[in-house]
Amino acid sequence: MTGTARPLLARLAQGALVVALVASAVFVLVRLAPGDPFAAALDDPALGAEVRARWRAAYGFDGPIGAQYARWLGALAQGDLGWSTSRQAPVTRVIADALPWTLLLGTTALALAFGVGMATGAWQARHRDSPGDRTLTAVGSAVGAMPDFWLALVLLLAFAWWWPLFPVGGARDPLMGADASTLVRAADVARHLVLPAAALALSLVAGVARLQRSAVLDQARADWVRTARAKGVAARHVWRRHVWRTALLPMVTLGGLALPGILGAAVFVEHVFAWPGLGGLAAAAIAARDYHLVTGCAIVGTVLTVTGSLLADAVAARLDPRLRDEHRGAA
Amino acid sequence: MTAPAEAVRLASGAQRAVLAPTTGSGGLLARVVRAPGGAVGTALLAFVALALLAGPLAWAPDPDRQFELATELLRAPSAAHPFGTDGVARDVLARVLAGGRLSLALAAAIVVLATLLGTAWGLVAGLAGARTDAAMMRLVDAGLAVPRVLVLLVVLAVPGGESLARLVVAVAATGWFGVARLVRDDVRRLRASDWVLAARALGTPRREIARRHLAPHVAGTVLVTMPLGVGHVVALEAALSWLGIGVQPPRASWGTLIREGTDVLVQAPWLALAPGACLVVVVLACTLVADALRDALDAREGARP
Repeated sequence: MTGTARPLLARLAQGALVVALVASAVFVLVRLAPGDPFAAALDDPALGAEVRARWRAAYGFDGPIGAQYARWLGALAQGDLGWSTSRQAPVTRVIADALPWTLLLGTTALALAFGVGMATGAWQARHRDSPGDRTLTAVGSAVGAMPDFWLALVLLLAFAWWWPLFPVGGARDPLMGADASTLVRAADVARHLVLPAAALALSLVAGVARLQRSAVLDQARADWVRTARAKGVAARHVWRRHVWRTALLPMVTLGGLALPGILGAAVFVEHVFAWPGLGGLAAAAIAARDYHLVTGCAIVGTVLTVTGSLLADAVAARLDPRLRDEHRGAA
Repeated sequence: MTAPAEAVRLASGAQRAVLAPTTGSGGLLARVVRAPGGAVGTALLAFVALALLAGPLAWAPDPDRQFELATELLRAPSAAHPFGTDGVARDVLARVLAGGRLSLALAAAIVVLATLLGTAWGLVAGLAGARTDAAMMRLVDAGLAVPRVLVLLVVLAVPGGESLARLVVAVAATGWFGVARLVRDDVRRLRASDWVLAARALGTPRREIARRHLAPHVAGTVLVTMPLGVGHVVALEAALSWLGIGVQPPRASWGTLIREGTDVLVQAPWLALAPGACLVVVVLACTLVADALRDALDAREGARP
């Protein structure tokens, strides 16, 4: 176990570095950028200088920059992200309310994208250069070329308005009675989840299918597959044990790499569908000029992606003994 | 005596391999255009470029001109207005053309800036000692792990500095990590390769090695990333502008046009669909060209002894 723990610890340290970098960059940007985070909130020229000074003091924007940085880092370490002016609540609590919704949407979209993408890619690899393969490649390129926010708008227009199969937005029916059973509630959330999850998944699925196709093709040409075939191992068994399993590894890596992107796409997709998650929150915070909430979302989002990448690394290390040994050799 | 002979043999092989790309750069373009995907992509890009640049000559309306408000408000596409009119009776086609010019110019500026930055960083790290390399690459890994959109939200949401320059710098500054990683890996790989080793054994000056052996390969690596980068950045700029933190109205970019269209998505879907469709065409064309370019370069690399 020490063999896997050491490199994971190193990755953990790197993850902490990433979070610290983003947090510090956020601090520098807020404090040193031209303009004042209070410029919008305190637009009223009738406000006196002492009111402004009090606001700055209340939000920790007074004193020398070094002291501000130390104070801000201390607050951050204690999980204090400031006060959200648009929600009139601590940023931590606002984000805690939004986080489960983003996790639900993100995991659903990831599962959808990888499920559909891997199945498609594997099918394409087995029927290489067939008309079906070519068509799927072309469709995949077209879908992959659609920007996520525009795709979300198109889905909204098509499946919530022209052909109203799904609700236009939100995560729950606001008119649902308090006596509705858990099952009815879950079904309601699922109905609301379909379009945003589809938009998010579609922006990823083409890439997954493409990588899976080439990974399977690579593996199908590998020496051990030829050996297995030569020994007379059943074709189904060769695919399952030798091709499919080794082709899984790039998928796990892609899963980790796709996380920053999917969280970025979530900002736009959640905004379109008024999904009550972290991304929609960030977009709304920008519109409301709620600066602490924007920075809070960025920091929590970074923590989320770093955690996800670490998980992907851990899974890859479990799947592939070579990775473990490589790390052990290096450590 | 065998070692120098071996070095000469390797070096002459290296010369051939490196001379081929430098003399055959016209062949590279030809190969891109000859590949089916590359042909479609190049044709699409050429068509878009022609439409954006020559469009205003053939299609007269001024993008800011308002037609008769009483009759021409939110009109569906017609012969007079192929993409319809918007909420203040402007011609959408003229606005899409104007917006496309800005969107593509911004994307080109961003990609050039990011590529220069990433290439420089990657070259320095690749050529530096192991310790400097590790430190520089740790920063690149950190940059790659950061959710770019969230950082851009923070940077671009700071009020008071809304300008195109800030947008270009911010998007470029968060987009060079991938290129840096590719260039650095390329340089490291080449440095360890037999022909560079052979050239060094023959006493070739370092500058000559960099110019003749490293530069052509690194140039190929960088070249492939550029069309992909343009496609990605065009979409990113549109998304940011759509959110209200990129290009600011009244300037038209494809993002701001889709934003205007979102408000009337149900009454006048063409407002959001037309610029979005142009966006899809450009991104698709960039992907096709990048793929064809990579295949062409792979074929060239494959010819190496």
